Amino acid sequence: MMDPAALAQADDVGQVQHRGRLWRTFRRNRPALAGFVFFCAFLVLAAIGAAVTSGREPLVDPGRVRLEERLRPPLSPARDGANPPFLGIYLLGTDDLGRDLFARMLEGAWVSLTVGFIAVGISVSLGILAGGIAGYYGRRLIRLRHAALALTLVAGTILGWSGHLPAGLLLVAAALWAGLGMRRRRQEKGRPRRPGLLDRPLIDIDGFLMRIVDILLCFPSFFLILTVVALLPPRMITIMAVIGLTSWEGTARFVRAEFLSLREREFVDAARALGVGDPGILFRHMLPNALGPVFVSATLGVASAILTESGLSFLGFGVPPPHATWGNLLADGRRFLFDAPWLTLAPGSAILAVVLSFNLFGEGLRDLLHPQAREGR
Amino acid sequence: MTAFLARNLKRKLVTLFLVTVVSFLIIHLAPGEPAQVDPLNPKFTPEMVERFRRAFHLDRPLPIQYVLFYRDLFTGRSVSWKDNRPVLEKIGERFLNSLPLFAAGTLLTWTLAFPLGIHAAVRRGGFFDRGTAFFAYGFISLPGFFFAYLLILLVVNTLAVPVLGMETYGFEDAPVLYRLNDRLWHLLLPAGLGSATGIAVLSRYVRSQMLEVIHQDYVRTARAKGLPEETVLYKHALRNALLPFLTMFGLLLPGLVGGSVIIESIFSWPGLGRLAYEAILARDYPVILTLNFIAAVLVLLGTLLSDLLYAAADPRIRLE
Repeated sequence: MMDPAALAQADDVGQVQHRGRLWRTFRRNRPALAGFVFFCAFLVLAAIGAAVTSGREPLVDPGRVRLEERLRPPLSPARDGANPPFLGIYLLGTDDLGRDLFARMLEGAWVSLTVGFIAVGISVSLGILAGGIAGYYGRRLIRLRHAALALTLVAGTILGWSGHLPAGLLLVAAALWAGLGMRRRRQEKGRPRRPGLLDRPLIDIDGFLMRIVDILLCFPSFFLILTVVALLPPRMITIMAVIGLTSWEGTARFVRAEFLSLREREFVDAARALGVGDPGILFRHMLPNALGPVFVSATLGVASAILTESGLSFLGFGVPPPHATWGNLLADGRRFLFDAPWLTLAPGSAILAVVLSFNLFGEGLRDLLHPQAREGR
Repeated sequence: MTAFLARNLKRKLVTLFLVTVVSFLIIHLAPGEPAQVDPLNPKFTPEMVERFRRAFHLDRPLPIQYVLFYRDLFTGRSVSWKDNRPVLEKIGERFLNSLPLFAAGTLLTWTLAFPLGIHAAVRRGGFFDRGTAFFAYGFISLPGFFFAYLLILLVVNTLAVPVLGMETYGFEDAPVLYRLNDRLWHLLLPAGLGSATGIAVLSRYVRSQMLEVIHQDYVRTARAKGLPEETVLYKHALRNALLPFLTMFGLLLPGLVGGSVIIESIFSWPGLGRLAYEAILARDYPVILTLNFIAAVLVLLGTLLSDLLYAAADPRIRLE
């Protein structure tokens, strides 16, 4: 018998070796490594950019208008002495208002990144939530009383929202009271009751959630995003929310599949036998095992969110002006395509490089996490 | 089989109904309404707005509006709020414009992606494989309209390929052959662009499918039997690798409606995507909702079609 300390140490060594092996495999995948390095460099750059361009007196001011220096080509020296651009030259030229494109790109890096990460954050959390519930609690039935309860709640909220506050509050309160009653009755577990009309099963949770996914898949996603963004007031948060809310189906599907198979595994049985509660099993034992593919799809998702934002900007529904994003810089630049091509080329190449690095990194991760696929090639 | 069809159709109809409800709610619960699109226009007196609201049932409660709207849609009576033309006529006309673009794009995608992907899989790790991987990732990561502008810069400055619209202005009286030629030239850039991303994605997918199949036991058996490499690759491996693509074939259908907003905007191509965009800008609810309905029908038809195709091609699958 080994004593526990030695055992723990051996375990640590095993972990370290495992990590080392993963890292070595990853390093051998040149494109993925390049993607990763670029990705980190971009993060640092975006952070620096946010630091230098924000605040009351930023080091380089992206919003400074210099009307006498409009559409200067890249690398031309600045004549504005009061608030000179970085190094005193316009590294990437100026736009039609004489603003320094380099400074605007620096500012946009942070905003673009925020859009990508928050949108993906929303979609991934929704996907994990829906997929996890469908995979773990999927076989439980939604009965008529649950549906009635939910309907009352929603009706109450809508009523309360649209001006009939007392009626709405009454409905919500009634729903909450009925819900608590249901919960108490389930905990009593006394004599079996005869199932009444309200106990009629409608659909199981899994079927319900997958039906929602089916409905979402019926909307062409870009069309849906465009419709919603066009109808809502133009704000940065709506764009992030809409991109996130319309792209969680993929994550939900494979988290569900993963949970369905994990649920039957021995270690989950063992945890249950030890008395671990549902949250513990879900979050401590199952979720970490399902996170690999989620991480891959999140990385690829950031790339596609940045692309979607630039597409929306092109159509005039992107992140609205004071904020510069690479998407709307690119979209604005097209008016001067022939006179000032740098206004198109600089943000376009930046988007290409960043999205490419996210994609390569994501694909590399996927290879890493799917050893079967790796051996196949 | 019949049972499968019946159950499937029922399920799809329920989904379709829910889609109509959801899309109707999204449109109508969003803040603002079409009667207020232009509050500064002096022609929009309160009486005008009131008449407008009555004419389009906007003064009725939402559920009744819903019923009225879909009744009008199915009886073909719904008209665009923008120009009072029947919605279906408008959509039909734009559909005919979109069709060649869609067909050319799809044809390009599917004819190019397969040879590229298969070749890359067979010469795995070689120069060709790496080259296509490089370009594929490039195309996937490129914002579509940025690429379009790069091409326009190139094309307008060096080659004489027409860039905008469906045909050259004033060409209506030209002989048929000239017109056809002109049309084809106009099609070249948008179709090529539209298919670039598709080719990139699909060829990667073909490659990975092919690689997966090549390592199966039956391929090794075929090799061990001494079959020529061609037969092994194209008869034993490829046919099995093709199976998942039947599913994708069904999913192509919805691309007819939503796929090409950006491409059509860049090239001023008067197609369905452009129509959708214009309708969204003008808050032309009947057109938006009808397009959405058509898209949903196409998606549902597409999944049904791919299920059936799959069952027809793979004897292991039984639809019950």
